[in-house]
Amino acid sequence: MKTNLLKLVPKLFVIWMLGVALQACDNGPDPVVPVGTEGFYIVNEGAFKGSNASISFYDRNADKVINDIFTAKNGRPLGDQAQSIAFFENKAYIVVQNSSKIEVIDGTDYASLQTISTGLESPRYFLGVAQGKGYVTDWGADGITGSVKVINLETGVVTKSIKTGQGPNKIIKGIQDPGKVYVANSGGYGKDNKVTIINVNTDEIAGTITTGDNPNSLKFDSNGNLWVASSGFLVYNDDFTIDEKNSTKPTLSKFNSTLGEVFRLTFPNVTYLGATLESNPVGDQLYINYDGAVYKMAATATTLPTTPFINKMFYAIGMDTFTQHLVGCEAPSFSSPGKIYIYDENGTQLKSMEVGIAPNGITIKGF
Amino acid sequence: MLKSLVTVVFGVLGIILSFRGQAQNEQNDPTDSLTHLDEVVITNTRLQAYAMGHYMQCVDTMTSQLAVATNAAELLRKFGYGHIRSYGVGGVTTPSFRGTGASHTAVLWNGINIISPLNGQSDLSLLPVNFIDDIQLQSGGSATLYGSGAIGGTIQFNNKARFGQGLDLSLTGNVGSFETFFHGLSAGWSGKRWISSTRVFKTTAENNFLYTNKYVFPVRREVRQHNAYEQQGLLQQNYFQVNKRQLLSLRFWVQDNHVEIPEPITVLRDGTDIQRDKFFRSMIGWNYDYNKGHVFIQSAHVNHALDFSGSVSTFNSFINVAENTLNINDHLEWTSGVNYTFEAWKGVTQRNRTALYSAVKHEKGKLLNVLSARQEFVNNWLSPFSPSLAVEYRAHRVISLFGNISRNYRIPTFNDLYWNDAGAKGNPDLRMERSWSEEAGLRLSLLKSLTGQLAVFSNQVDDMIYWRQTEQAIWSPRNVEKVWSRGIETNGTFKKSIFELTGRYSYTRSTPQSGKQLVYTPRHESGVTARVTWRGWSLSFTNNYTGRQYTEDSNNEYYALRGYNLANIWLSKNIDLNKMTILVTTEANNIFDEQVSARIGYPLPGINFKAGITIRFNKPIQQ
Repeated sequence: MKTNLLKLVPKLFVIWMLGVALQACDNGPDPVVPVGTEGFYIVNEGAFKGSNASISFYDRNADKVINDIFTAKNGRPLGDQAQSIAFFENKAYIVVQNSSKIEVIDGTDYASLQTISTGLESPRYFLGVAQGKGYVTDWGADGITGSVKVINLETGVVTKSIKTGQGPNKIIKGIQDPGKVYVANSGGYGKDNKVTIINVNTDEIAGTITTGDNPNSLKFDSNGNLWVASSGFLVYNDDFTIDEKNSTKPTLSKFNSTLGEVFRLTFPNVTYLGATLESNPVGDQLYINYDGAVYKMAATATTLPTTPFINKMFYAIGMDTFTQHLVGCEAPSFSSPGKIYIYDENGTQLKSMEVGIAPNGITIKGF
Repeated sequence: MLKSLVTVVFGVLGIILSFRGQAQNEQNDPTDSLTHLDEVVITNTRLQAYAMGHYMQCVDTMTSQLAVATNAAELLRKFGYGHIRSYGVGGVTTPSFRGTGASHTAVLWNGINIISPLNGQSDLSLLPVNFIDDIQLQSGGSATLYGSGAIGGTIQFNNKARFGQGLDLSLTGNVGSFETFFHGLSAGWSGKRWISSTRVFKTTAENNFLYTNKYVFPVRREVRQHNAYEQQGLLQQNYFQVNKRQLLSLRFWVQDNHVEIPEPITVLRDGTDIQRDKFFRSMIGWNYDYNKGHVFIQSAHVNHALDFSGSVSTFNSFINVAENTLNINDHLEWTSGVNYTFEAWKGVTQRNRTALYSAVKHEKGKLLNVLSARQEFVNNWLSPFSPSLAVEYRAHRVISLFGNISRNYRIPTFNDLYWNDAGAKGNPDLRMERSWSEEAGLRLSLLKSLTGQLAVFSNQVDDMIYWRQTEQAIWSPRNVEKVWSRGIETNGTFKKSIFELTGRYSYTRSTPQSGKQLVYTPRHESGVTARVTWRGWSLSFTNNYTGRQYTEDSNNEYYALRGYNLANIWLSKNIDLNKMTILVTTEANNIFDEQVSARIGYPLPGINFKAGITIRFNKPIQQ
């Protein structure tokens, strides 16, 4: 009995240390319920210059969608072309691209706190990088002069503009080195083929890696490899049909943990919407939205899947990281409500629900 | 609550007035005024002679005078002549009759349709009021007479001329809030055989008004930026009476419009786009009267270059009309004609349109019938055969009943068919839109001073062309919708000595298959105009109520524009000197300083002011 207790001491020590480590990771307040259990948020882009962007919330317990949560709370419309919502330090940052602004709302009751607009031109995705500091990717007014804007979240002031490639789009934290972020330069209204790496302590560029044309989204897998989906570059003939010869096809690149390119897989067709990437939370399964269907592949695979996982066209796909369900966002027109479709791990459709106009992605609240 | 009360009050007022009135348009009918004047030229008699059996409105002279320093869009908005869709003062403004769209209204200048073959619309903000002598609005379908696009209604802008009036000079200056200026000048000689007159105008505005921007937190007051416009134009008219039976007319209209296109206020940066419209319109006409009828031949050319921030789109239209009207006997009149139109876009894409039309007007006792039909050929493409029947029955001294049924159509525009760029693609497989339009109404007059009309209408459009953004985010048109519009229109006017009161009300339901109300189509609209005229003084008040408007297909209340009232006051004084008249006008617009939007993201100015003077000099012809 005594020996058993003595044997327990190191185990208890390890558990205590783990607790300390976890505590250190968690800067925010203790969530009342586990992250993601309440549901997820849907960003509805709205019509270009239609001023009808909105945020919907899928309430998992009630199993229903509540639309227009921003407008319902604040009594004013959100703006023009919402691109994304991100949660950080108990606030939500709604990036509204054509309105050239970020709407900052309370992460719990959605009440407006601030509009950040000075210094922003065509912002896309927000990422909280350190206490009181956020980054937002910005295409620039011309859609070519891309940058990452550094924002002091206490004041809402843009303190620095870090020049990136063209059309900086999704931005993620490094998995092994959280002091670095990775920005996919999707080309914007131009062309690019780089991922920019930024040191969040110095706000300086720490390097670039080369991908296929117009990388738009990126994910780390469970083994620390970086996957980058690129849309390819479209060239038009004089009559505005696609010049297949000079256009480039979408690609999927895999980089190892030292950022060496392992391989680059090329999709068969040139398409308008290219290819975008999602993954399950663990990072062993990848989902690709390409050419009117969603494909699923293991992160260990070396070839592209050829059979669709879901044979349906989506404007965007997202991952409910709590249930590990894939969410497809459908935008049948940009003037009437869109729909989300939820699928389990086997691709079986569980439900579909009406949301706002042109849903373009989902986000789980995770502080 | 207040809004619905206002709606009901104006609605009831309108109905009461209309039940006690007499056909308002009869009083203002230009053919009627013919009899009062010695010699008058009205080139296209078909337009008036067959405009019966319909709900009609005419803009009166006083209203035209008060609005002389502005454009047709502002006139129709301020005085509440039907629904218009607008991007604000100086912005693109198009009519929307009976719940239909901008391309469902025929806009005619002296009988020729000036809608653009590119987008099927005519921007009313490009029509200066001082270039027009007479404005008439006819609701309902009338494609048999006016051709493609006359589905929801027709607006006619006409010029008139009187022989033997001598030398006429007129000068207008007007200044308003937000650095708005208007200068107009006209000079003309009207002899016994010939008339020549020239009108020019120039108007500029900064349009930099204050508005409340709710798209930021905290909400703030901002000055509208990149919202200026500048327009200038010249209209030249010549008429020559060859002999008692023959009349020649020749008109030129050239205009240059430079408009800054603002961003919607939801976009927190200033606009940069500039739209430049340059157009040149010319027409030549020949009227010949013979014993049993008359012949009318007209040719017009329209050249329009639209430059949107460097992207230029040009079209040329040649419109030719030959028409004969035969008085078969005292009761029967028969008009038939051919319209040949050649349209070309960028010099490459072109089409030939030939339309044959015929109308028989029968009048006996209390009953008046017009039976007409039209068939159009577009290259080798056949329009739906379009017949129409209109009836007017003078049941009693105080009451007239009217009604009509018509088959109408709209040919897809060049943009619909052939537009092509990276973000939008036309669809060459589009079909023509087709519609059935029906209407029944009555005109009443219990006393000489009370006039009014009421109509119920229904209009079904099949294969309505809609531009939609597809999943690939590319815009493309399709014949997707079946839209049913129905409702009520009514107005009435009470006149007694120095006092005049007009009420208007309309109820419009316009629904595609989804059953939702069409965007920017209020169900309720009403208005009241009160005017006192005394010894050259005139005081006018208008209030127009525009009901709630949805701005997207699902009728989401969050993005709806709330209903609003806009009220204006004018005070004017007309001073008659020997050979000279001086008209001084002042106006206050939006006097209750309502903060409203013309459409989502496009605010209208709060209270604002204008003042102007028109000096007219006339030297009669030496007898």
